[in-house]
Amino acid sequence: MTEEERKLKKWKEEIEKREVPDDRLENAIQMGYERAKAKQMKTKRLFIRRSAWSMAIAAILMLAFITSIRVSLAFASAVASIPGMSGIVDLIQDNKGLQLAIENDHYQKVGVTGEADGMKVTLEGIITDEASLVAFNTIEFSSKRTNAFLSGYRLLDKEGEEISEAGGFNTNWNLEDDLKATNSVEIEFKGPIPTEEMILEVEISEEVDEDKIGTISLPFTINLQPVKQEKYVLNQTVVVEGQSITIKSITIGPIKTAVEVEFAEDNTMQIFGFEDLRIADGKGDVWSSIKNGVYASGTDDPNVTIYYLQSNFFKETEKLSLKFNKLMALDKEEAELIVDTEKEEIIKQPKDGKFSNLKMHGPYMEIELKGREEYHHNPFSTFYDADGKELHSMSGSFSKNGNEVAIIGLDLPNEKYKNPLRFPLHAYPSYIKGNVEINIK
Amino acid sequence: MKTFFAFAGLMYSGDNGGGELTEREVAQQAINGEDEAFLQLISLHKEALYRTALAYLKNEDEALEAVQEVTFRAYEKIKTLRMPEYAKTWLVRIMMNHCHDLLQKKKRYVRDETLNDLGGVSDDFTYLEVEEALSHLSEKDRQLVHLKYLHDIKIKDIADMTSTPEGTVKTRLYKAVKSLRAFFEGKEEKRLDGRGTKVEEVERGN
Repeated sequence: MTEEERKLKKWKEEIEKREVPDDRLENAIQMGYERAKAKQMKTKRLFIRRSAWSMAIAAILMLAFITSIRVSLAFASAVASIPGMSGIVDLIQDNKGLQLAIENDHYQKVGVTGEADGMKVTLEGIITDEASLVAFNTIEFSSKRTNAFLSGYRLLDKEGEEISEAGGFNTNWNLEDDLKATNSVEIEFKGPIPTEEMILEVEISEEVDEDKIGTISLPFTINLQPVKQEKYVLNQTVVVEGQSITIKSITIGPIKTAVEVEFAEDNTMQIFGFEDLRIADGKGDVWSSIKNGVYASGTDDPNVTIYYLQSNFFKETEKLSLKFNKLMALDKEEAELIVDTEKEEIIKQPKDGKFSNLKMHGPYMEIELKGREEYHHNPFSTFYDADGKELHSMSGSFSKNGNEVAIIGLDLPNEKYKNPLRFPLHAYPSYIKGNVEINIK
Repeated sequence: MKTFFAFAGLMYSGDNGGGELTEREVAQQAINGEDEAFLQLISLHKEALYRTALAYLKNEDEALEAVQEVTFRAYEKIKTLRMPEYAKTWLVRIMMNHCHDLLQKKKRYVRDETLNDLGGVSDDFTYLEVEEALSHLSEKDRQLVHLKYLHDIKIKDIADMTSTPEGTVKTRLYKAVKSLRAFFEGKEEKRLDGRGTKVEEVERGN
């Protein structure tokens, strides 16, 4: 051993001689972990935070969760050749319909960048259908505003009048660089698709409950060829475990396929949705539901819901059929959760008792729900206090602890309410099964 | 939470037989996003993290704060760890980088604390001498010495982890130790370009 090594050894021994304050050390780890969890929670809350502008439109259901990056090599290389597209591959990886639209040149590159308060948003490109628009954006946040996030979008005409109706968006953060993100937004127009220049206005806010700190305006004009959706009126009724389900119509457009479904009023179960609704051509190709974005929307009739599937618009086939085997459903009498937030107690819940661990963190409510890995649904929407007062949560969160337990968080509104609170359920990990196939053409 | 930590500690010091997880498996599960595994992983390496922080920062409170910060950062970045077998090196490197950043921000006061803080610890001055010598190395070399001589991490592992050829790591380490020797022998002034000035500055500051 050289003299240097001897000294280094001695140095090491000195360092190891020092006592480790065990309790304080574990406390430090715990605090670091909790800080990270809190931040993660906040990030996930942003994912499903609904745009303030679309709050007025009831029953737009957003399903957004982080999916791992998996893109077929062929598709990745096809897309990489389109300028500005390589950065947003992750946004369309789960959507065959949008991939097909891009492959079939139904994609318009825009490339307009706007800046506010050190933050940059670039509108990379758009895809349209008869009534709506999908915009792809890349975002660079400012290092001075690390808590900033995109909180909403709207479309304005040249006079500054809003021409967008409802919409939803989701943001994917770059895992290596948390100042970068990609984002896709889907917006419905109030009227027909405008041919004149319009403005995509992006709203930026800081922290979850803070006010907005600025807007960025991105002007563009739609040059894409108008497309005609294909509508099939079916009105076919099927029965699954005694529950009657009518497929009223199917409309296929370049952005998505809309399936209009009615659940009979006198069904004994409340059907929350389809687990595997899909369209198949005769050749083995299957188009399933939208995984990252608006996956369903309500209508004026509470029994009628429109479910969205990935579009097969650009794929020519002679035969198409709609299939499903599994629905999320629960007896109507059981479909509610009643809690006392003061005592942190669950008073009533479905018989199989999958809710547990209700905790309050100030006005923030957290509850665990045991489902399977594929359960990613927010069970809550509007809720009611003991006097029947209607309450809304401005934001919620959804995260997973391991594979099974979902932790659902809700920001309770900043107003007085009387316990207990009643939450009609809009999802719950309980299922019915059948084997349905309906010919479309 | 207390029970959990006790459990984690038990698993580590236990006979490691049966269905217990290896360190690598714990790291893999942590990478997969399992919170318990993440906490267990940090717990496994908490002493390495703490001692690293202490070696750099010379202060118990600051070292503990650094452990908190590194836990926070590691949780956010664990998904980017590609090789679970090098989780310890990965964590220690995050810690070293963090401490280095901290020191850059408050360079002037460090040496002062060294003396106060460690006054009663050692009966000879080897520790202080080594620390003094290390502080004259480039940060890269200092980290290398830490990994090898404080944490006993194999040269091959350091090479894998940093995507550097093993030969290069060896050469760099050899040179780093050689400049330590030069420092011990009092010849460092000429060899360490620009670094000597900094020491003077610090000393004047006191």
